[in-house]
Amino acid sequence: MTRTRSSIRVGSPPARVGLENRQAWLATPALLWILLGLVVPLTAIVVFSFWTGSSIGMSSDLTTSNYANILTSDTFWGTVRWTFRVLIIVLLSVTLLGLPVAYFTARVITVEWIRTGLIFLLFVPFLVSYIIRMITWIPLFGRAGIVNWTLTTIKVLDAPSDFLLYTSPSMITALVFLYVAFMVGPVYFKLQQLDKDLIRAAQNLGASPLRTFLTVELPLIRPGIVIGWLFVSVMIMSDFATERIVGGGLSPMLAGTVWRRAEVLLWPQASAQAVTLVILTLALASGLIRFAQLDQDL
Amino acid sequence: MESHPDQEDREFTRRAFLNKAGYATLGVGSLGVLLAACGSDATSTTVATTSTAAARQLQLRTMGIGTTVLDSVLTEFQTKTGIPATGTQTGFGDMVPQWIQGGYRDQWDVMEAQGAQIAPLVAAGTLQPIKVADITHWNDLLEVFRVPGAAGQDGDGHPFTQIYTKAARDSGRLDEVWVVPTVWNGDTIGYRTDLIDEKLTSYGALWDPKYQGKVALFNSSLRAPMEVLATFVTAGEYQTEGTIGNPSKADVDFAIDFLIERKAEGQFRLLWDDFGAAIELLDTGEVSLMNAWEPIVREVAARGKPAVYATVKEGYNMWFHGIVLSAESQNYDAAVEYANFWHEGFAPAVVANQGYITPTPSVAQSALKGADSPVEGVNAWDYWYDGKGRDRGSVNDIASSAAWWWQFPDESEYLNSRWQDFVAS
Repeated sequence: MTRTRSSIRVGSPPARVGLENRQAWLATPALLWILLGLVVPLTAIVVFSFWTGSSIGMSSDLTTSNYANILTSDTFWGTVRWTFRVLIIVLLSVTLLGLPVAYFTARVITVEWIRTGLIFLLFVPFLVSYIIRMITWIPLFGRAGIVNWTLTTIKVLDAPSDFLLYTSPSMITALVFLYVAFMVGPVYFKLQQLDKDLIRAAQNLGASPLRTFLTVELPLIRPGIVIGWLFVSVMIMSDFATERIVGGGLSPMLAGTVWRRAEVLLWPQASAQAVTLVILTLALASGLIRFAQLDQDL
Repeated sequence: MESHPDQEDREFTRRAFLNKAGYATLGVGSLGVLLAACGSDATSTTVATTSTAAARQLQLRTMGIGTTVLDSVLTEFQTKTGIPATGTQTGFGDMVPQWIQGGYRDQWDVMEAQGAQIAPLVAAGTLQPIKVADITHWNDLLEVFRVPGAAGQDGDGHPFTQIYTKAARDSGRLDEVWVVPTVWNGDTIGYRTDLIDEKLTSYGALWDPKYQGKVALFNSSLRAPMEVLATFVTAGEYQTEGTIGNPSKADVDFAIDFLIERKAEGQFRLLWDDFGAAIELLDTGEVSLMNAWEPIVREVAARGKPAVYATVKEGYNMWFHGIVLSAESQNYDAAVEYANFWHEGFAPAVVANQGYITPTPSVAQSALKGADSPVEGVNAWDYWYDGKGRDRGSVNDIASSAAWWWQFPDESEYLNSRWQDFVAS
């Protein structure tokens, strides 16, 4: 740990180091990229969110009504509550599923190439586009899908179930499967980094494997868990397709409502919702970072 | 090109609209947006249309949904006229955004737009009118499209009022149009007769608790709410303040509150967006009934599943698609040729097999009589136009039983906002 801390300490105040360093120009491409790809569009969205929009266009007459309409809308707050409910369920699920997988891979598997292979397998689904992965749920879980066919063939079900697709539980399940890898990855790497002497010391002092995990390893891998939560949270907050393709489009989350406004050309309204979404996501992310004390642990 | 009087009718004139909004660059979301937002006039460059067209090779670049932008039609058009033609298929909901965001400027000459899409396209200043005199078969169009007050028009005069420019209507000259109709039909509900053991004759089936969890609705604020109103108006249980196609706020509230109530009971399984996905939903029995398009039901039936398109007592949700021409296109003559081509036999015979109808049946009749239908020995005219194959009578029966025409309602923003309440409820 000392090693990790000291190496970070050298680089921790990046601005000052950057100014002192002659290689500061190396950051220019990234800064330009961020400026063009993030700052400019985000600024445009903020500007548009104060414009006046109707279904036939928008004008630069400034208004705060887009925000007023959002903040006083029961539908909006209902969607916020629903999004956070889904988020919490998914975070709990990916943690419960992801931790054992990461632990198994890092601790139980001792052969290096098998470990690497398993971690590679974890990311294989990402070779296929996210939308395609979502669409494959339909032939798997639909009424005429493989799962229903199997369950009715072996007489577990009398008739195909409607429950497996176009429902909120199916959407949440899909989100868990989509994003669990982002939990396993950081936790696995954090476990790999741990000083093995600490575990041996705990065992020599008589701690059971469970106690070792709970009192030694878990506190030390907490940053990995929180980084996983951060990844998953940000992706869920911006996920607009899963609820539509797998969920059936009748339980939208926040990003989906932005899309629905944009689809009918209500750009200022969509922009105001997007800005609100960004603020909520930043608040969530900074809350998680503070909770994990990532600034100290990394 | 000066802005057309129709555009000045609206909240924003075209020039002001483009100067202020930078709509065209919106999709890119980059520096151009800010430049446009700062009032740059660079975006409003326009080009004269027909004067330069003759001097160079005409071309036709069209876009629309997959049921009207068809390779076979474009290939035949190109062969017949020598005008190179390309088509882009897109989702219904993507048509107007893609066009307005800049597609009309340099990507496409024409859009095969639906009636309800015309008003926003005109208001955004993206269209140029087409002269009626250039449309060879204009006087062969069914009267519902071209004669004020003709039978089959709804309370707001649609589709007639959607087609002609306001100037042409106000002056009584009827000499220019925003859109040349090419296909039309009346939408109802499609269902699987093996999953539903009664003959459906009302939109009411969509809300019938018997079919709880078995219903899919089209993801558009312009459809299910109107079907709710039609159901209740026909049953004598509600009287609209506006019309079914152009409801008042109170009408919208009535329809949406009802939908929210039914949704809470678990009536609706999902919303459908996409033609291909809708076919799968009915084909796999994922849902038993849906407010559908006829080609969806035709395709499911062609796959061997017992699917029918209902005739409903409330009347049809009527629509037409037609050719609209980009304000910036230099291919006016090609667009006119394409519209004329659609009125003759070839294209109507192609789309007949998905249940779509030509607005010029008298022109297309001989070609349709020579074309095949799904039943051997019955020609396409007899099958599709004379009621020998369609479950819902002849073309004239359909044309005379409109409950409302697809249109762009005055309260569209309120309707959309309430539709979102339903979706998120």
